[in-house]
Amino acid sequence: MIFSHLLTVQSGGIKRSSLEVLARGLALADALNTNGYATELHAVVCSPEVADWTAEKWSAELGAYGVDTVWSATDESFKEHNNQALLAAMQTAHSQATNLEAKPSVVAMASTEGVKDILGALSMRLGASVVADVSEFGVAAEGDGLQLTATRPVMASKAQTQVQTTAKHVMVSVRSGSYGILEAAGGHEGGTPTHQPVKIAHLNVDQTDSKLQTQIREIITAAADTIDLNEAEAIVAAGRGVKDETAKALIAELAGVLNAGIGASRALTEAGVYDPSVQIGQTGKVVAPQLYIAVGISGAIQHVAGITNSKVIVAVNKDADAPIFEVADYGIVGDLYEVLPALIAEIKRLKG
Amino acid sequence: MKSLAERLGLVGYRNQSRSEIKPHIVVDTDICNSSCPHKCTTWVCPANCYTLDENQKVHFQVEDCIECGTCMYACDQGAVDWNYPDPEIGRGVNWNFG
Amino acid sequence: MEDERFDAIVIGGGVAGLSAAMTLARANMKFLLVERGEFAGAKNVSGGVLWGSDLAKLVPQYWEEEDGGWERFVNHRRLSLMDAQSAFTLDFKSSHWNEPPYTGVVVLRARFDNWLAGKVQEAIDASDYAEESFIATDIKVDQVIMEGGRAVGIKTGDEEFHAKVVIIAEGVNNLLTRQVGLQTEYVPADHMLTGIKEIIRFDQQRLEDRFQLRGRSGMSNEFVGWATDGVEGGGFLYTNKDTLSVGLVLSIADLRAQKKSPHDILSHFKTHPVVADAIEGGEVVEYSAHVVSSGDKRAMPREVYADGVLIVGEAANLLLNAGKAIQGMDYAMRSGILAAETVVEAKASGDFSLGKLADYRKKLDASYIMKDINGFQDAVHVLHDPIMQHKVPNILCDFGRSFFSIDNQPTAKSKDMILDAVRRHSSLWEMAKFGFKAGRSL
Repeated sequence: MIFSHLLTVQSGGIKRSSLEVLARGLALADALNTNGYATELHAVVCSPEVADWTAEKWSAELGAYGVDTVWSATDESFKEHNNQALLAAMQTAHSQATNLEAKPSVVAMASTEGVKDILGALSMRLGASVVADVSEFGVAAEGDGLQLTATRPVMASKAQTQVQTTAKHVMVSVRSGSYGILEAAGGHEGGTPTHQPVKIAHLNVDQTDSKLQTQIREIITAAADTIDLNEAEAIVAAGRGVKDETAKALIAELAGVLNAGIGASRALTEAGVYDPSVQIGQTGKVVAPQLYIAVGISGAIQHVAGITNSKVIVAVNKDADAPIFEVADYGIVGDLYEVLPALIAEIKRLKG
Repeated sequence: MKSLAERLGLVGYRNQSRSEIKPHIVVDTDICNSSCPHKCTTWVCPANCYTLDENQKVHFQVEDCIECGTCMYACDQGAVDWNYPDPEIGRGVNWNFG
Repeated sequence: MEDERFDAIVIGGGVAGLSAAMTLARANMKFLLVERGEFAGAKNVSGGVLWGSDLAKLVPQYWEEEDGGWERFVNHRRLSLMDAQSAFTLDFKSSHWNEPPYTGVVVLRARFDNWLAGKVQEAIDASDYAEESFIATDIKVDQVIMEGGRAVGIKTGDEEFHAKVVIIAEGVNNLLTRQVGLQTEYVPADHMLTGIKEIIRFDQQRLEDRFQLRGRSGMSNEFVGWATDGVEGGGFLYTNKDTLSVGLVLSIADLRAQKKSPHDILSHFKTHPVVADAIEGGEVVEYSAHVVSSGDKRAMPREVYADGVLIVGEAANLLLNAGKAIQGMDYAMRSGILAAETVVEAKASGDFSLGKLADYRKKLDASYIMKDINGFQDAVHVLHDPIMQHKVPNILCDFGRSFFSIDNQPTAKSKDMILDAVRRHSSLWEMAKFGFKAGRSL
């Protein structure tokens, strides 16, 4: 069977959420191959950014993941999310990888907004059954098709459902953070290469479809260079304690190393320190990210439900009695001017 | 014993991941912070949506609201404009048990 | 030309609204029920026990359904008066109540209302207007459309729907009842309570062992005294299939006056030794709160009908807590049925005028609802009297301690024990007066 992974490119590399799903795909493919079911691992990458990626670059990004073939489409139409173009690309890659749909397949993707946009249409085009937004999944061979079992959190993660589908072609989208990535994906100096060379196949996608039907006219963002708080997996939130430009810069740097969105409490947006569009809570944005770092926020007036639904909450505050520590998973009592630089330095060191 | 934060963590809210929501309760905190003799909403709300900052000013956040209605009766100062949430773009609860 | 309008629009998919809808469907009326939650029950909270036998009339043989929307039937009633360490409990259990239709069933609203809505849909499908009547969820009514002082329909967003009668079943926070002028814009806190509760989950076998439940039998326990930390109100504990509903109803005015928080009092209640023993080992799986009426008539709308409007359920504050049980859902059910019957009669006679709709008031007055509400107002006041809330439970528990202690000393006479207990918290005269008042009202 064929595992076909849609990989998203961001900031010059494969996005983490895509790699998480790919790691799982590799584990499943290995298991299936060991049990005698010939399984190939394919990846689809649609981005003009990869047009100039060398073989070394591909190896560095994907070598350790055992990808048999990467189908890459580098047309300019893939610069921004364009569902028509993406659908055409996925469909073409799929039919070629499965040898015109003869082999059973699993199309695996990270559950992002872009993926949600194409999920339905793609399932119709491929004739595939869809299991969306899962926190874990497994695949077994079944007759001349396959069986996919998955766990889906429902009701804002209050309950979990066990889902199973048996079909020739199955699509699955995976919530970010559900699986880990492979550590040794990067290039290594000397020693035995831990990766294999990656075969690149260029995808010629018939663009006439997309050119006629949809065109991106304008992209409206709240602030051009900030991460959408709703999508952000991590958020650094600034409170009253963030009083001046130095502190603001530290917040920005911390957010930068974590690839986090920046939010601010109402006190700061009202004072004009931050733009109202990044206000968190108090009828501002509603957030439930994986990681929420509250800097200089007392927590006395921070709304609780949004915070408690974050996966991990870290609080930095000078006041050991600050209410935020009651809801935080990790707390650092200290001056943000001392704590943040140390935190940033350590994160940089860990990231290598 | 569960803290209020842990209790609220058990509540299923609508539009949890939506970043822009239309608040269903609008509070004129100018009234709270000028003429109100008690600021009782800061202790009667079962979800602690009304809080006091270090300057004793009242703040209201709708995100934790479980639509019980208590503030609508408790506030006798006319500061609370209470309504039900818009099903599409509002917040509010989805009870699992009720 | 056929009238495009619905015979009735029911606003609200709670017990009252669904009961009205069921009755309308069975009588082949063309109606629309709108509910602002994602599903019927999504927005509703109850203690809660649905007392009485009306459910059997609405859903015949409901007990035969394997997974019907109700949790347990009540055959074990307890009424506990508490002080800090003790509970003096009136405990009555009887197999007399084991046979359906039951005297009361414990429900969880998200499940119950949803199940009942399914039954209403079946009734719609079997009615003459199977294609035209429907239940619409996720619809919030912004206003009742009034034309020349008469209600003619509802407005939700940009859409309008028209009907001959609007049945308002919106619940206790009755914004639309106020909009049509039957209730003041601002309702004071004086006679309103905040209900607050937790659902605590157990292994089903363990729950049944602990509370001696057999099959689908269940227990209801109400509390008064220490439970509410000096705030007017009471506590409750009901057994669901594999969870407990544990909570309090607390006077909003008193919470305000005493500067106390309902969630703190809930925690306080759970620490009482008798309650703690009952809930030991369970896992809290939901926390909820909702305003609830007290049963005091002074809170009720000035009338339950107007031109083109009928008010049912808690939108009309139809509820009674006179100490024995909290009767809200059964009143909602009966009033919904009566309102629907009024609509059916109006259609039959072609007369939807104000005078005809007044029949609903007559039916309500003749029913056990208004007879009880009117007849037990004194009991409601007695229940909220500080003597009942604080002194009586303390006296009883003091007496209980003396009465039930054996300490190798010469034993005092019971009457002396009672007098002692009374004198510690009150006076003979006060208790005699109160006893007289209570005796007459209950």
